[in-house]
Amino acid sequence: MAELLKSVRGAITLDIPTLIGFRDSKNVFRRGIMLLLLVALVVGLVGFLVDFIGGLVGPGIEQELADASAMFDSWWQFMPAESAEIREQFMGSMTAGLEIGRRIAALPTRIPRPLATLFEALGTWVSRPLAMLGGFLGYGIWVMLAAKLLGGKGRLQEFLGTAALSSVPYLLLVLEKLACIGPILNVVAWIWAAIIWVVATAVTHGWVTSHPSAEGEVARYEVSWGKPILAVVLPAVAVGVLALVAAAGLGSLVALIVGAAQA
Amino acid sequence: MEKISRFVSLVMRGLFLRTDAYEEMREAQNPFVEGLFVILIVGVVIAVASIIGSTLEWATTPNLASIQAAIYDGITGMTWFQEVGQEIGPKFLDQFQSQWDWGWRWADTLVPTPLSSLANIVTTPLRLIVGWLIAGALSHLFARWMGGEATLSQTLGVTALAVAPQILHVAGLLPFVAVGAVVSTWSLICWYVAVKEAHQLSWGRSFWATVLPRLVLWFLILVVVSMVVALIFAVAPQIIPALGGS
Repeated sequence: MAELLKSVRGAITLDIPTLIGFRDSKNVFRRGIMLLLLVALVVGLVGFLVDFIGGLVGPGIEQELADASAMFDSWWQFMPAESAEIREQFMGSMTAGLEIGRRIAALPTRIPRPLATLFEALGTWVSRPLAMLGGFLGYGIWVMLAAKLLGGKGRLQEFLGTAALSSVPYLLLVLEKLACIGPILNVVAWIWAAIIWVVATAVTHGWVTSHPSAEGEVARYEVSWGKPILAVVLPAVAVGVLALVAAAGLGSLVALIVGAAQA
Repeated sequence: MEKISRFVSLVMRGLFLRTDAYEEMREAQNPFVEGLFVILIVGVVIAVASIIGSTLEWATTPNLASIQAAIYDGITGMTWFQEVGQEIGPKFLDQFQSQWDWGWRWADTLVPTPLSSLANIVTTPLRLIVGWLIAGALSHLFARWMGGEATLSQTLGVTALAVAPQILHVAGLLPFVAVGAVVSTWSLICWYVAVKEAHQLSWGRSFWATVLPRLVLWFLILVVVSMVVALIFAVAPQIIPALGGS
């Protein structure tokens, strides 16, 4: 536990000796993955409680309709006045849709409803770490590839294990349900995590140089930032470019089909 | 029992990319048979978990017929539905009813039940074995082409450990859990480590020996799907009038 807390603290403070120690630890990949899963479970705990209690109490169709109506009104004020009829139709359909949802939610289940609600909330809670892990590993492969192409010397296990420390700032999302600061915390956690990604990439791929003191101990570490930043950013840029190309291709295809149909 | 605990240890070490697990498999007396056992164990474990998960999901959801009735009442009670019904007449209602019944018949076959999930005990290990054999054989070809020296039995034995992430499907014990893409991504990573350890290749060659078989498989699937679609488009115009009796 003390070791875990030390790693968490080291990740948050971008402490290079801690990251090097983590990289060199036995079972670094397992430790990193376990830490990431733990963070995601802790973050999701609040959501789980909100979902479960909310599911038991239920906000009621009137409350949901009032919320949706308020959101819709704020958006509708930018629309021309003559579209009031469309608004009425939309609200009518939404009310009917919510009513269907309410009826289904009230249907009896084969086991007592509170137990079913508990399972639903548990399912959502457990799915979050798995989604987070999938995203982490998916991005990690590409960063690893970019780092290797840039001359990195790290092993996959060490890199992924150490980079998993980037999940620690997401602990801030424990408070994500708070309407006013939730989005800000999301951005802060994301930026912080990106920085840890860069440091972890530098530490595992040999882009950190240690400078010993006169006594032979490591006095300071010097990080060569260029390549690790490039390795972390390149996959995101590549994904962005690919998405743009795909969107342009799809757009051209749709335009061609529409053109052909009109001709 | 001792053998099973050894296999469980192999799977867990393989899952966490411990190279000693992959080396142990490569040096085993008959890596292919041991790999087959590993896949069978993983397949049976996740099949049992899916049966329990499906049963719980079935128990936590309302009866499909009552959901259908609630949606039907809701839709037919909507203003637009009644307006369109009056405008077009009985033809609209007939068409709606036939499409409605057809859709729900499909839904009925897709919704998991405890009985239908029992088939997983056979289909899950079978699916894993077929996928492993095809991808393993292709990986072996590419790894040898890249200069690897492992035998086919060693390649298959070691790559069997790449099914270890399938164990995450045990989370499906809980209903409503979405395991998602993590399994395929993690399996790909395990596969890379497996090929690297089995054939003692550099990272670049191991990467290509991992990726190329998948690209080939996707290409083949794309070709087959395109051929089937082309065939349907070619044959459908001749069949549809015949079905219509004209």
